Amino acid sequence: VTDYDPQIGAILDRLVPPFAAEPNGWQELLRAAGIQPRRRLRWLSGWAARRRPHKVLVLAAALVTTVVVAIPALAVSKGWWFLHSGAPKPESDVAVVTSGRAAGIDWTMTAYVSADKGVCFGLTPNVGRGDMGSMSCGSDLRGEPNPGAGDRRGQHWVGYVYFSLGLYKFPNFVFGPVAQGVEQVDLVLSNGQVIQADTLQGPDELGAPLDFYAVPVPSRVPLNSLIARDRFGNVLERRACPHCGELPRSGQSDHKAKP
Amino acid sequence: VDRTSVRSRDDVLEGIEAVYRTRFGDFLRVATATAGSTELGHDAVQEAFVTAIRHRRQYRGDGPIEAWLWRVVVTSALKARRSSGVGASQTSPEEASNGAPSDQLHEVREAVALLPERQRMVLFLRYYADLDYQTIADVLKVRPGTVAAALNAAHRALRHRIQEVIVCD
Repeated sequence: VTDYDPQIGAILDRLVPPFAAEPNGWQELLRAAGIQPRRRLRWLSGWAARRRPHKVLVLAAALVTTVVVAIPALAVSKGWWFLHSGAPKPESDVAVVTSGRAAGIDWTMTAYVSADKGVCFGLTPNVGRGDMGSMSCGSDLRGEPNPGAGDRRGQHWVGYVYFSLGLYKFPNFVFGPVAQGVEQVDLVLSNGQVIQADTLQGPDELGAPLDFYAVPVPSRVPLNSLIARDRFGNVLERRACPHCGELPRSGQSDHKAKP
Repeated sequence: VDRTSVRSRDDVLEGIEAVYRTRFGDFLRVATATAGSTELGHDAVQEAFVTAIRHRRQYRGDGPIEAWLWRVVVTSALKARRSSGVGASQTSPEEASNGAPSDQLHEVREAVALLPERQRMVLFLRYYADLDYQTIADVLKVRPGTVAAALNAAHRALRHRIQEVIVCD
């Protein structure tokens, strides 16, 4: 018994000659797989040392322990707007989870571990001075660190924020953290359409065992519910999203949901 | 790329990239032979690596990452061939790119196409990718002894066919 026959090898070489093709397109593969290049942001203390007065307009702000809260706010021109608006104190770097471009506007999703209100995550469209963003803290997720309120164990698999900027034709977004084990989040719209969002690996510098997702959704079509699935497609959790995508009231464009 | 297992998710991504860069030509060759055309083979490799990157957490680190990637590529190439509706014996990369092959080559190609799928895949992975029995066994999820038996059977079938062609010529 031989494991290599030169005569057969020669014929197989004629059938499919060796390729001289150079591997390329790795970045395209990453993009096709939904992975965005990550970069480490400046250390918070460095930012704090350079802080200067900024005009920060908070349209709606409420931070409640273990309650998902959205804060649409004008961003400052430097630094992260949410750190000026009474957001929970960070205990980790503010890490970039992912970034992208929609309607010609670059956007960035960030996250950090707060001292006592779980993981804070935000999405900030970059439209220059006067940027607006949305952020939330405490999704009551399994494995989420520092949840506060007695450090009880998180119950949910998926957290969310429905973000409707309503300006610059920037699309509505649904984004949030997920517990590890969630590979896909299905967004069930009121018209029956289901938008599937693959989860993104949480940044290492976050130091939290969470992954994330962010996906644009059509405007004027409310979001009914979210379904977290594992890698086999099994349903880990279904969460209703009350009033998500309905017309905002009193200038508040985001929605909050009790876990 | 050494055969040590990689564990963290970033390590897995780096491992995938390293294998992609060092073995791209071999992946393309096996996928082309399996799928039936260079175009299908190229698409299969691209699709396979996108799938591998997306689902890299499914790699448990309990074996060489290269074997895991070969499995993903082989699965993608087989799927490409089946979904294209092109049988393994209906076309060949050489036929597609260089015109009609010689009669001998045509006969051998027919003989390869007529091999059972497992024998054909063992042949491609052994000759085009230069994988050892253990790695081929990991890729095809069989025992190394099964790989040896399949390769032996493929050799016998092809030698017989080659001999027939030489005698007839």
